[in-house]
Amino acid sequence: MGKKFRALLLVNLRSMLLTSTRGGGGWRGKRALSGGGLLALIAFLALYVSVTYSSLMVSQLAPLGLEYLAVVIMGMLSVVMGTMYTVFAVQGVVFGGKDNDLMLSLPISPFQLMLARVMALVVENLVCTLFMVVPAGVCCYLAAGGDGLYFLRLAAAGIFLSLLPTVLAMVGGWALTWLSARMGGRGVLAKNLAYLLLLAAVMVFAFFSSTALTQLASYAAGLEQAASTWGILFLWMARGVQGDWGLLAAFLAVCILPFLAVVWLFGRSYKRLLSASGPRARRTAFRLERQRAAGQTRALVGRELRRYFSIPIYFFNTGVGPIMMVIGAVAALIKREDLSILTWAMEKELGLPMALLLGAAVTFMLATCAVTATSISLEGQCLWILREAPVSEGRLFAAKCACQYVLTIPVTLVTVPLLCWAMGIQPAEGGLLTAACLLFALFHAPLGLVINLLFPRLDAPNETVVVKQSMAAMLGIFLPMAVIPLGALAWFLLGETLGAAGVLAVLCLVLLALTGGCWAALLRWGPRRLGQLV
Amino acid sequence: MLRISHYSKTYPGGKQAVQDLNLHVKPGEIFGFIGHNGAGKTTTLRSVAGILDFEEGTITIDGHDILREPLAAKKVTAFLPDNPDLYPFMTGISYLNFIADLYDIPGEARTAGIGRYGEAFGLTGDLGSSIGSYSHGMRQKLALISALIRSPRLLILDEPFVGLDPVAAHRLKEFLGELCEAGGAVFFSTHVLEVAEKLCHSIAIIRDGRLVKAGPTREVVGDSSLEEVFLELEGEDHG
Repeated sequence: MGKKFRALLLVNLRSMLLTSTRGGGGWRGKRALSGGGLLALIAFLALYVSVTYSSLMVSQLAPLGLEYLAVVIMGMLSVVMGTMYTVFAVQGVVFGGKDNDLMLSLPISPFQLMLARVMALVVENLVCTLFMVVPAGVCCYLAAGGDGLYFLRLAAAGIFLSLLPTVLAMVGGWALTWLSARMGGRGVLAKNLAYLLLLAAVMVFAFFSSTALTQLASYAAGLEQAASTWGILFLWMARGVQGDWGLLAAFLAVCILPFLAVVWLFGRSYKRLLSASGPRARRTAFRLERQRAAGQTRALVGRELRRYFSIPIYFFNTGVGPIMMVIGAVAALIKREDLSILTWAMEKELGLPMALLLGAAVTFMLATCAVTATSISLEGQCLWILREAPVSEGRLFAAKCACQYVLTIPVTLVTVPLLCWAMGIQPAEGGLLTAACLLFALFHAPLGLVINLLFPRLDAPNETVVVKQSMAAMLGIFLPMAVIPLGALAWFLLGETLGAAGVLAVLCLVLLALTGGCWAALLRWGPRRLGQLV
Repeated sequence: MLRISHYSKTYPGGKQAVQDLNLHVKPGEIFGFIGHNGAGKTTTLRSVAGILDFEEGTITIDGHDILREPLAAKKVTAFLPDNPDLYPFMTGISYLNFIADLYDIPGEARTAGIGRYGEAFGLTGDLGSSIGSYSHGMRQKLALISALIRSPRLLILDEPFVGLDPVAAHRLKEFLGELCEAGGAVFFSTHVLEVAEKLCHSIAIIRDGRLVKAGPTREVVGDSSLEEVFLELEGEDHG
């Protein structure tokens, strides 16, 4: 029994974490551990956030004897982050796996099957909770001390806390899966709206947390009150880590019991849940009416956009950047006066060019919109349709890039000038910054396709693995961010001579060359590479 | 219609799937391609459809070289794989419209084609549903409709009868006959030797990537049955 479960667990973890590239030529058989890389990235981000804020919080709370609140807050934050991250994956990993039929036919208990499925999610959440709670605990230990078993209790708390976001993600993911199966096309809209609401909730939470973190001492009473009411679970965790074994046991029980209950319930009803959430759950009666022709380009771009908005994880993994740009531009307009003063202070007092700083922020946001970086992988086993059709590879690549351009270019053209105006950036610098950001957006799309052609994943068990876990997805986001240090380097080398406008002009030329180079590589080498993938 | 000359295909790992294949499918002909599993049938069909690259030999469709003029060759071709994976995020009708747009089929012609083939295969009522909700047979039918509405000059089918119900299989045979009467040609692989024997004007048998027998069905079969001929050839190989 244990052997079977171990085998099943390994299959599920491998499916979730490992990404194999697939294609012809020299790429065949090559495997890349991009899932591990992604976990390392989550760990780094969690560690960074936790160390930064925990030390800040503990320094303010320790004099009041409330340093344990840092563990409470980081615990809450890790649960929010973990839930947010894995709720996207539940649909693909638990309910949308292509191997569901095979798994259900295996002679293994439903509980074990569901547990093996869910463990992949637990691993992701574990990285998040451990790397957020442990640094907070270490900061508390340094401020207030503890007994010899302090770190053992801290590790146990971090490990068991990962079960909480897993439970929340499973319930939320199931609700969204069920909703989309019931509502068909409207379900996709409802699901996207639900994710947007979740995102908004996280942003509101982040906004208030950020305000509170700077003046923690004055908020301490409120935080303590919150921790002893709706955040009582996290208070048990913090008190447990401090040495209260009873509260620690209660916390561990509250984490593990709902987890086991949900796994048992979902496992017991797995077949029923799959039947209810499967695409066969909804059918429509159709009457043929006159159809209209649209043309190749419109059909190809329309197909890309349809897929983009039909797969919520695709939309949310890559759409947050442009959404944040719009929110940022609106917020900048509201806070225009404060920002103008900030710009003046940055430039006159610190000698830092606001246009370049804003450029770095916009580049970061645009880089997250890596739609093309996984668009070939998402063709999966359907790639034959495009290979068989009388469509040139150039047109196909252009359609894929157009999908990303539709999302990034209008947002760039509207938000960057607004941000420049709100921040009081000189018109010449603002114009050059807008041009640089536009060129970055133009460069990013073909670069994503080149990356995806180099690191394709056509045999993924679900879209989540492609969009979240694949090497192409990560490189598509982080490789173009290299433009940010490039800009910094240009400023340090040429800033004194050329000024901010001159540096931006140089960056425009560099980005223009990069865009041209990327398109040339794509059109020359891309068709051959695409031919090797089938 | 289709001419394959000295075609060979070796996969990157070094496995030679097909070796020096020569075939000629004439207009108006249904051409059966037969062989055991792994003989090289699907590899050949995918190369003919322009899906799979190859390094040796030439394949011309209606006078267009598939490597040099791929778009012109593909414009007159339709291919149906043995297990057609279609976009699960599309509905049946949006998929057909997508394909019709890629082949520049005008609105009226596509409406008529979808209506005709949709009714024949009993799929019209389901065209508004998501492809993700389709059974294997329904996907097969949808892929067939998407192939037939193009009125191809050359129809390439890989195991087309697998997964089809008897009525749909019968309709497909009728449509294949119509296509050939209109001057088109059909090149298809199958393991159902009875169907091949009854349906095909010509037959080619491939074994381990090499052509072992080809010609008009009557000549290949002679006085025996295709099954006997096939088993005899297999026996020679193993004997």
